[in-house]
Amino acid sequence: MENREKTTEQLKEDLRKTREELAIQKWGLEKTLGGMKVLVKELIQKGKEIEGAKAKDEALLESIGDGVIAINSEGKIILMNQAAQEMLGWHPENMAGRLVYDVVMIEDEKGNVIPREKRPVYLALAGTTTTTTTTTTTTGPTYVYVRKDKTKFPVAIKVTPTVVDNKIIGAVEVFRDITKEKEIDRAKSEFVSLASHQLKTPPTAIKLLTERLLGGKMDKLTEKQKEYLNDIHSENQRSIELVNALLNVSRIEMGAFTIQLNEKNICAVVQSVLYELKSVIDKKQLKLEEVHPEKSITVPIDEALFRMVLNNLAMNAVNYTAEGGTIHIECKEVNKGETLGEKLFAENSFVVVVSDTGYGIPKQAQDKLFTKFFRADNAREKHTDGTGLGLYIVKSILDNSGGSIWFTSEENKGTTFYVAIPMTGMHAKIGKKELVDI
Amino acid sequence: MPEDKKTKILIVEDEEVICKAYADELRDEGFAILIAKNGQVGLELALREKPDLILLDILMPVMDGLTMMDQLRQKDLYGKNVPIILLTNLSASEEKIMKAITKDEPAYYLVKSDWNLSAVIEKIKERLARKV
Repeated sequence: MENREKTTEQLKEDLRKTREELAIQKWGLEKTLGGMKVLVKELIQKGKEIEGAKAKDEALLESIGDGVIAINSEGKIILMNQAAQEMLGWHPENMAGRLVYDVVMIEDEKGNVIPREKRPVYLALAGTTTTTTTTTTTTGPTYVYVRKDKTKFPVAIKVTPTVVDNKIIGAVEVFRDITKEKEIDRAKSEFVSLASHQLKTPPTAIKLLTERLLGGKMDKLTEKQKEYLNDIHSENQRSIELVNALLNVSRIEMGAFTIQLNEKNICAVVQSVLYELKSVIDKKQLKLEEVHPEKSITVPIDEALFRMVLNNLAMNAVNYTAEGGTIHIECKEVNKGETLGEKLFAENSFVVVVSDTGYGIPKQAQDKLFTKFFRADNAREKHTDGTGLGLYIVKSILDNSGGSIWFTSEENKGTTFYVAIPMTGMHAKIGKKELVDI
Repeated sequence: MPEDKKTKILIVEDEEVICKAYADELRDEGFAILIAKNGQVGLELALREKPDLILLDILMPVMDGLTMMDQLRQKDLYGKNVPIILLTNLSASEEKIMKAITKDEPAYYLVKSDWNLSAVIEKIKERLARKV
């Protein structure tokens, strides 16, 4: 009875204790609630900051002047910034989720649609290149984007695949409207063509008149008069050659020249170039040795450009070798892995070796030999006319067509030049102009 | 040889000195010479006098050589067939020029600064001999 009944005193004590516990718990809960409120406040604050940062990032992306398109591995657009939308005429629609191939229409300069597999975005996604770049006005084909309203503009595109854990998960393309650059290039090119035409007019007049005077149909000339007139004629010819060389240099620098390939019996071309130089070689009483392989070799080349290269090297050999010297020209096929002229060959190549017993190239001049207007001192001494542009043009032609050129030389002993073209042929190049014969 | 029995050559060239050089040389070779300073005059002269061959410059005021050649080729039977030698300092790789050459078929395209006077005369004689 006593255990079950608690005295009023005890009950009051129990109540008091319970109240105390409740008060402590309430205090604890209130504290937790207070803490949670602070947490919520902080979360709301953080949320605002993140949104602010996101807004800044979006504004950043949107403010990029170039067009930016991000796509996933299927080619669906994840993001297309304002500039891209404006340039392509799709603004202000929501592009996300649409297939980039349906939204961005691409053609070549002539108006032919570029097939999907050849598109820079496709190539980037396929992983065939690390960065697909179709650049500006000087290298690579010119691509044209077609706007929603069917108007077009030339474009410079750079697409990079997005790689995570060695897998391509998408790509980002950045592109730019290059209408202005193309305009400027066209204007530059026209200026150069016009300028070289104008520059050649007075020398042409002088050329023709001196030929008239020397032709014998006019009054008889004294020996001295003939001599001077011949000098005038050759000096004038130098002017013409210089203008032509400069025109070529300009076209090379602007990447504007064309390389068109045809399968040719390459040794026959070499022989014909040398045949044309026979009279000059004989005049200087030089001995010409020609070595050609037994079987004929066919290589796809741009004949005009190849002739220019060969002609230049052969004429250099003639000009920089004293009377009675020897010029040795050899054509051969060199296989991958073999060595010739102290160079190891990385692919099967056709090589022309042009060797002479001439003045040689001084050591200090050797690494400048292929630069514009450079002429070694001993060359200047022995042979005053010469533009200093020949080797620059030759090297540029070979650099642009996948070939190569190098030499070995010793002063007063002779020089040997090597020209190598891959057996698979020169690389073709689309360009608007041809180089002028020099 | 009386004037009207001589072979007539029309030179269309705006540069006086260059024109003079070709004209004097051709006269010494026994040709009768007509001269025009631009394509417009050249066209009129060609249609009126019907020269046996035309030496045609390209860059000229009033009417350029390619336009004159094009118009001449479309005029009449004479215009369609008269041999034309384009004599210019422009290189033939300009697209406009290549199109004109394909369409209007000049006999030759010679870059003045590359061709000696005597070589040009040879080409003229060659072309004239072919016609006869």
